[in-house]
Amino acid sequence: MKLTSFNHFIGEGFEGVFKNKSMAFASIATTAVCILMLGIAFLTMKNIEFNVENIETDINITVFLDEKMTEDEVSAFKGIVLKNSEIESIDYISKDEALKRFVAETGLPEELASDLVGALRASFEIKLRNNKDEQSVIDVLSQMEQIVKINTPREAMKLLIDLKNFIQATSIAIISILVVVGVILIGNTIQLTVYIRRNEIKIMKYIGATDWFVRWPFIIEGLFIGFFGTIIPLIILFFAYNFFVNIFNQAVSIDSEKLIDFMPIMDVYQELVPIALILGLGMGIVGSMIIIRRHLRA
Amino acid sequence: MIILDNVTKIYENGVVGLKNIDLRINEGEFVFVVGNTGSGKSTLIRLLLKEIEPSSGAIVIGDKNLTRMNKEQIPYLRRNIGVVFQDFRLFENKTVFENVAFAMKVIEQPAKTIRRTVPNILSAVGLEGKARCYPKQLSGGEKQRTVIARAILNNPSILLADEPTGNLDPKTSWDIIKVLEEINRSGTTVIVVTHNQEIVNSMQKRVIQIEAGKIIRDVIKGGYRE
Repeated sequence: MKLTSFNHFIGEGFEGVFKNKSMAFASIATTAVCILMLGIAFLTMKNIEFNVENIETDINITVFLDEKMTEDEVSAFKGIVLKNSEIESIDYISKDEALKRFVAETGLPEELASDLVGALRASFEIKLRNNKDEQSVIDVLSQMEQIVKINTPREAMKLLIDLKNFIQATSIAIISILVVVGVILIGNTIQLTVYIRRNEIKIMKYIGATDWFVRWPFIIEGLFIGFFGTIIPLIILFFAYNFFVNIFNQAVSIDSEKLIDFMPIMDVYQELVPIALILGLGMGIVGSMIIIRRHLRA
Repeated sequence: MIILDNVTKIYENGVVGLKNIDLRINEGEFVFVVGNTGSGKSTLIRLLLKEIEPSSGAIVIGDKNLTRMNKEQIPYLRRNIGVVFQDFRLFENKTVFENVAFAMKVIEQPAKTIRRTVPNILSAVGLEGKARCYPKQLSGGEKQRTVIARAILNNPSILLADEPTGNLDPKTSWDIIKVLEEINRSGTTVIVVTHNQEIVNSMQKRVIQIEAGKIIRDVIKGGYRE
């Protein structure tokens, strides 16, 4: 393609968008909703993955012992557990220590907290040398009679992973439907341009224009729609995400400590922007190609 | 040279466009194609432009057999055939200059070449000073001159004119025919489909008369009727 032709295609493509403003707007809006959905789902999934990874790197197993155990029995238990080579350390958390932690985490007055958590028990926090050994350690611990309950972050993580999978499946379904709607709408916009320009296309063909010469302005038009339909929601999402993170952290943080770690937007956008552009521009190209191909065949 | 060898065109609805046509038009000829409406004149034009395929027979233009030509080669065939229509078929949103220049844009000529060539062509067809006008600002004759300028811009070896004077008054019609004759003098084969008896009778050029899809008369120098 020569520069003269390239300029011609860009000019004609732009003209097509502005000739059918309302249809172009509808197509851009549909593409934008599609990309917005993709962006929200992507940001949510990435943040869940990020937090799951954070939990995994600092995995602790908490075991609760029979309250009737004497101090000697507890010390003996500690010694037995530490013999396991897969365990790095074991810390005793007394009932008072557990209460202090709860007060620190919730910010509740100590008196009220002690009423609420009367059932708090002394426990051991077990840190593993390697997180991969978690299940084998749990299997060993669950055989020990002194232990009445074992808590592991896996339960919380399983919930997060289930949530992530649900969001992923729902998003894929919704985005798929929106992609089809977007392609149809872009196709309709292009079809309208083709209809308006049907005589021009005929003249072009008479004077020796190749099919690609006829096709390019419509593909450019589809690309414009796809591009703006991608860029607009990405910009909106950029500011909305940062705004949401600030508001959330202010509202939900405890003692300046964040409850959830959010990924920096730029880290997510490094992956999201290429995916969104491929999807948005792809919708534009596919929509226009289908229509112009049909027209040129006819 | 244009050769039609036993060409028949029957449309899908059963209408016979042309039947067993044998025709030979030499390079540089000026030919009038005459006949009643629906006789097959337009079918002939459409076949030469490879807009439609013959049902049987072969069509050769220069060294190219149209019946064996694939779809991708059609644009390159048409670049060698200028076309002039009765209804002009100009881009209404483009100026005279842009309309004519478009024929060079299609074949991806550099902007510099376009800027240099178009004014010369406009001058050759008598459209000096009209380059910036839009088609709606032109008279019928000027529109047709613009179409002719577009058709000859890329130096085609053949110029097909389908009723070029159909929408024009007698004086303007003569002006257009003079332009076509001038183009023919430069070596271009000119085929004019027309109902204009006065022009055909006065010009005394080769006349091919088609009726009901058949050539019923082909004379080297003749008038509209026998």
